Amino acid sequence: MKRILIPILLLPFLMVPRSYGSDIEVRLEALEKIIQEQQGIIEKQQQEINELKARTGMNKESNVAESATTSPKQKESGGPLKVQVKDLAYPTTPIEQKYSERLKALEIYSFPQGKLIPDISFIVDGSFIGRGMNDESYRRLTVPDFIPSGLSGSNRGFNLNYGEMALYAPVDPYFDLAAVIPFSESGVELEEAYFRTKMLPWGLQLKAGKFRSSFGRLNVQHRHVWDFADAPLINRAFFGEDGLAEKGVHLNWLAPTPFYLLLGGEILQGENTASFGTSSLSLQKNGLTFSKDSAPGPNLFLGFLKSSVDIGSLSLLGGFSLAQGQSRQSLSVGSGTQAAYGDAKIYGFDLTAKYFIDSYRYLSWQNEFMFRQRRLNVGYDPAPDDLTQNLSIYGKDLNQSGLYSQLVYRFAERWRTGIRYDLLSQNDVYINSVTQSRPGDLNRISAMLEFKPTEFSTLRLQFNRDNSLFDGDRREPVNSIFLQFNMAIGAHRAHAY
Amino acid sequence: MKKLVSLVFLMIVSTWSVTVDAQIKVVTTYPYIGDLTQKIGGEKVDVFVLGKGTEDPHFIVPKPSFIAKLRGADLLIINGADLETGFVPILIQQANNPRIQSFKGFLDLSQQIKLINVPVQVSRSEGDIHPEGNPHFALDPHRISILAKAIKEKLCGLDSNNCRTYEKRAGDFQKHWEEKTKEWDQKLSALKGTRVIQYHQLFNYFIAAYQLSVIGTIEPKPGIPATARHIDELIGTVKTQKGAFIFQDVYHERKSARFIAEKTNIRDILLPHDVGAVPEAKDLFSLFDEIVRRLTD
Repeated sequence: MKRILIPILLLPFLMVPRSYGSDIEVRLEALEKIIQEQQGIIEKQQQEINELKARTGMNKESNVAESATTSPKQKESGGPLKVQVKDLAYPTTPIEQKYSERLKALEIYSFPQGKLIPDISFIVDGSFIGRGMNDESYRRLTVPDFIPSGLSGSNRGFNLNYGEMALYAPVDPYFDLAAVIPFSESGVELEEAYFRTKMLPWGLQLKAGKFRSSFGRLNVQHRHVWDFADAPLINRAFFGEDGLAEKGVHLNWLAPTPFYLLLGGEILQGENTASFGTSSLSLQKNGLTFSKDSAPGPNLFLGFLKSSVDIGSLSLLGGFSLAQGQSRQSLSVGSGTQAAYGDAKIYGFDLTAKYFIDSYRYLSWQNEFMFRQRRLNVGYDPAPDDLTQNLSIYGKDLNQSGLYSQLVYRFAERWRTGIRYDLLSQNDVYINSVTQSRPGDLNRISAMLEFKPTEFSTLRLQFNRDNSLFDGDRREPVNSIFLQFNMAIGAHRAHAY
Repeated sequence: MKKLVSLVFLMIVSTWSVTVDAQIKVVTTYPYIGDLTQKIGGEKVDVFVLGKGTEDPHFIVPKPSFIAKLRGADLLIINGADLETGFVPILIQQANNPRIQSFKGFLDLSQQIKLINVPVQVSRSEGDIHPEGNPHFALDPHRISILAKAIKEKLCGLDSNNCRTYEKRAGDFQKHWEEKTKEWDQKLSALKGTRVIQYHQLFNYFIAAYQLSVIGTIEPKPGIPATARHIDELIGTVKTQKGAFIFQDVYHERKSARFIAEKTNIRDILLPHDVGAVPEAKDLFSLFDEIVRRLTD
């Protein structure tokens, strides 16, 4: 460009006769004429550019129509065409200029990957809790033989339950990667981090890493999609506060049936101590030893079957699950320490019936029943510092079951209400094969009302009447009220049914 | 147990024998796509539609029964432009079907369309906006032919033996469609310049095609239900700007439109947005026939 400009600027001096040199007005006139000529040339060129632009096709639809007539194979590799069209849509000169300026300053990075950022979302969950009992007394309570150690639970007043980051993106054509990272005030953990396959044949899918187990209905779901602020009693008793999330592999097979039928199995490390656990144990006192090696990993084996049919607007989903593994447990009971090893088997049945009234309203009835069988060898040290009290070692067998049943009604686009009944229905305990007397009728009833302005925000009011808690041998009914919020920002994947 | 195993086995075998015949199994998200695919594919395709015309297209529930349908699909056709974000990704993820996860077995119709209403800034404080632009392009009859062409191409790519058939059927469809479009254009030309209110930005492509003008939406922001104050403001707008119609969709509440209509003496018209939204809209042709009839009656 500069090379052209210099002769142009020099032109008047070269062309204008020397005798006119002193007459400024004449020189200016000549200059004006030349500028006008130049103007004409520029306009003509601009016109040509516009015509060329029109011919290459600025209109996306006419372009697609054209490319649609080419063979599909050509279309598949037709990426560059789109790019070309896009580039033309920008005014070229100013950007070119900027670009060359930045290029000079070496500010251009040739390998931007900004568009490859995975779906990132962050969820915050907080609550205000009112409870008819102080926090210390509440933590001392147990659900006999179901939740034997103190309840972790939340404090009265304000609680920040969690902030949870979720990441999701395809790794390549063959795998997707997902991670769920809950933050608490005291630290960070990796609740889930796994890959899943996309391209396996015959309806198979493999998942490996750490993930929430597909046992039953509720366990696989994240807390923020639950219908109530807390987990059902039976889930908490058998899988702990955070549910069954373990390292391992998961394989499922979607049967080629006209209705939904999913069969799957999981091999997991089995570190969840609510029913399983792998760590070695040892109690020693006065020459007496109670110990057991760590359980071999993997320790937990699961199988499940899920099926679903639709009857008009009614959708039924049912499942059967089985989990089996070794148990290693060590916990403090009163002032003493208890260690136990053995094995555990859990059977689960779930049934969900959901009736869709229209796009915004439904009635959902969800039920889960679980049965757990445990054969344990228990060592109990009533007072570790007191050498006068000996270890007691005995066999303990437990057959326990429980269920929850919940009815949730979404009665308007932004409103839901529901009730839930928890019942720990069976608590048969045998010590050295002798039947023990244990309190029955461990139940809880909950009711909630939820305002959901959009799918990204939830405000929930919940009331619990808990009749399952004991202070030693004394039943302590506890009433609590929750006012909870849950909000999500960012790119968060839609949830499974 | 033995009986159960043999029953499951029998089911599997029976479904396998169905797959043996040469039909292409197509799953589409919305009825209009299903109808278009059926018209082009004829008896060579077996079409299953996930959503119903009476449902809010944004909130189709990803039922497990849909996963079973996607498991066997050779082709999944979606509307695209963010409309199915709430259910298609999670269904694909569970369907264990590599075919619909590759270019060959997947078609996003929005890729064929130059979208309108593309937001300059994207923030959820503006409600449930679609970052790529307005996804309800199927309501402009002039854009259906291009979709038909894309579906035909896809079917030809999957089943080259029957490509001739698809081409012929698509050609016949397009010819018929163009004739009908002329008829609709002619009938609707009288509406040019009419001011309308709609619940959601659902009919924007239709409105642009027939040069109507939108003076307001009943929802204050996309996906946010109407408030009393917003309705009051709308009534004011209708009165000062002399609105003529309220376009009421079939799935939102109808009280607000009724209320505005009564206060301002304009008509609220229930308009189908998809095949099956009203009983008269049996296919794409009758869908637009019905829209035109309801607007010009």
